Amino acid sequence: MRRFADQAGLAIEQAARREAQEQTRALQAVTEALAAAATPKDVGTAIVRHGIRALGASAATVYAVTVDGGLELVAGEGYPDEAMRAWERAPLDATTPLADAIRSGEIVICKSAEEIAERYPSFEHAAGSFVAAPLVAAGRSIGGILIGSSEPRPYSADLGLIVSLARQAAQALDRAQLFERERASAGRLRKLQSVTAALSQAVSLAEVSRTCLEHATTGIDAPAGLVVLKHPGAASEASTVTVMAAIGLEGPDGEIPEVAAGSIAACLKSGRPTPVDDGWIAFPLASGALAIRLPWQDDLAAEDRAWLLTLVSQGEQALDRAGRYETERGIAETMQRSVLPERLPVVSGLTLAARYLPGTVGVDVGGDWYDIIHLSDGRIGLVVGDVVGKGVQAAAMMGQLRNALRAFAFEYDDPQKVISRLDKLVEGTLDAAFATLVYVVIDPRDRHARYVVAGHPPPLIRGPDGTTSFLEAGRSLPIGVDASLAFEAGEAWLEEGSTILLYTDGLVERRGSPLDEGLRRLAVSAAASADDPEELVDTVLRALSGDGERPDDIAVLAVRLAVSVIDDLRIVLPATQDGLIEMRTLLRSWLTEGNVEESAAAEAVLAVWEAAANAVEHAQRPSQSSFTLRARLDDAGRMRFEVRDSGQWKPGDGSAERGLGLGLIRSFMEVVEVSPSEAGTEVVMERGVSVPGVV
Amino acid sequence: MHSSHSASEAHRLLVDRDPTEDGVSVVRLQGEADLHTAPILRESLNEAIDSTLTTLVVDLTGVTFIDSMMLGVLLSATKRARLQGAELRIVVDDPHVRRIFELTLLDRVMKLYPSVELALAGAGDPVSGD
Repeated sequence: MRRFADQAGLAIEQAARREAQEQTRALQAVTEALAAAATPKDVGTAIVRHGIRALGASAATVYAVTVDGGLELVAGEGYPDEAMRAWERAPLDATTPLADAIRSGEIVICKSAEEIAERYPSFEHAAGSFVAAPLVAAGRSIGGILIGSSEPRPYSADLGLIVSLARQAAQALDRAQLFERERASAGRLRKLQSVTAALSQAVSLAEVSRTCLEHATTGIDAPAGLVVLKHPGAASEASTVTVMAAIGLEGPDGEIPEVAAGSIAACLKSGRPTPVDDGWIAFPLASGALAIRLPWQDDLAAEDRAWLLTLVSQGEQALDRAGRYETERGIAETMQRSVLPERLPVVSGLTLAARYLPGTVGVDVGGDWYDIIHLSDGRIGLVVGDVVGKGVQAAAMMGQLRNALRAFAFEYDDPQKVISRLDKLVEGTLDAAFATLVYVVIDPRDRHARYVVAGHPPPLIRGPDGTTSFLEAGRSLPIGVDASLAFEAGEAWLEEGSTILLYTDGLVERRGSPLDEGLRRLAVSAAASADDPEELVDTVLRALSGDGERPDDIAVLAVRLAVSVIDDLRIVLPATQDGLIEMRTLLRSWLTEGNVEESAAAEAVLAVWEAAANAVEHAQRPSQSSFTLRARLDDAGRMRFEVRDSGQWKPGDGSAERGLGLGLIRSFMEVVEVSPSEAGTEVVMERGVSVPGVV
Repeated sequence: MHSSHSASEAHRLLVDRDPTEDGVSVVRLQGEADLHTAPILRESLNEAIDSTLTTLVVDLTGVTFIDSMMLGVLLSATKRARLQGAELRIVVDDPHVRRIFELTLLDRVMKLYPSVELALAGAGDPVSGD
């Protein structure tokens, strides 16, 4: 009897050892397959295939969490094709085993068909059992895997294998997604370069306008659009514009369709991109605007918005060049010194002014540029650059540098990294060229600035009381000179109401006069000037180059940090009805304290209410959840609201009221950004306001 | 009457319905009309519409705050009334509230009047199909 028991025990032991060996082999096979997988799809396919094999299962799917907080099918096997097509996208808050596993961070097991019917009655697949595991990389759930069997199974013996599989899968998927994002940004860079090339071929204002419009509409698949510019030489307040290019419009040529007129007018008035209105959106372009008809009723995707912003900033430089060309040819009636806007968009917490003046002495095209980059979190990147050399080559290189810097600015927060990457690019691809530049990143909320000064004259700071100083740190050689030398970034905390001035050497250099003398004259004229950035740039230009001849291009950019009219409002409240009402009360009194005009205040309260109500409505656990409101009002005349919660934003959950709510938010605010993430959702809203008594 | 709602909601929005006369009734709101108090109005409107009504006037002049959820309640009530052969008329005198109806294009779907008197002016006439 005992011998039999021993033998049975031995057999079981041997079977267990065999199974363990098989599992180890299976894991090794997965590791090898994942090492060879480059794209997320490859990773998904490898996981499902080897997962099925390792567990002796019949089917498996892998899902990834998407940027907008949903689930996307990456790969699947063992299910019919139609089923896979139907399950391509799924909401994260659904009651499915995979979504549950991802949200909870725990493995979900159903050992039998009965258990499935009890816990997940809507689980459609004819399954005997399944296990669902989250894929967690660096503490974040990035997806999930579900492995199903046609037979009942306890899965208890397989837990070790499943955990290892999930861990490897998470790491591989994370890597593959990162790689894919880098490739996508390289693809975007290529797209930008082709725009630069096309623009450099366009000679007249009409050609440049048409090229911009074509790239804008094809870039985001828009069915129609137009470009309008104010007449050269017209005063900036003039309301007449000329249609320079149009695509996909019905009606007589040269006419602005009524449905687009509102957006265009708003854009010309505010100098800012407009919110979506009747399917149209307008971006400021030089003295006019580029208006696009969106293909869907939804808002513009963040990536498409970034693309269009970059395109119009490119277009502005090309328009400036084309304007000069037309002037020289006598095409324009009066000479417009610069086609670039005289009133730049007001960014929350900042007032900007800029001038780009072409040289007047024997210069055909220049290598100077300036750029304003709207980064995340309301931070702003400022660039003034100068490619060494003249002629078409310098202009072409300038265009490429400008594009590349923009791309890197979105990728890296640290200016030092951005310029290092740019330098490597110059070394690697653009031949025998170098450039000087200043790149500053400012966060208007804490007025913290980080900057790199690459072989360029130093930025000037003008304090609110008129005292001036130059930013001395962050100095390095120009880019493209020596790849082995590192770039340094300087840091400064700027005072409320102070102004930072960036410029090219054309402003401060005079033949026969040392550079220091030019810098001294700049500081003196800035100190004597008025506070307002527009007046500051004019004063400075008059003082330093008002004597007629201008041998070099000049670019000047002035950014003034707004003064808070009242302290920021910062509240954290429970995600309940009472919390919402308390928020409304506090917000109303804050707006009254800030002397905000009644109808603007009422609109702001409603917009913030709608955003917060949506969040509260979808809080995961209302009694334990809270939401946050930050509000800011500054003397630049802008209000900014940030509503943050721990729930998931649902703009389209099918209820008409939510659509109405979002529509109201968009109507009452100039800028609306909804950012869902793992931690929750953030809604940022901004608008200008007339504040009585404040200019 | 509204025992299913909390005391705080009932205090934030008061809904008064005049008795129906010749098929016309007026519902007056006082207070904050938002997603929490909307159910109070919804109940009241549903009760009113289900009876033998030809015209229901909803007076929003006493409303101090209105949001999209409340707009939704009014929209549903408008549709429901139409199905019963009745007409909903909304009284709005605050320019901010009027703007909300215009921005959401609901002023094209609902009938808005600047005062209860004007809203009642057509009362007594049979409602013609729209």
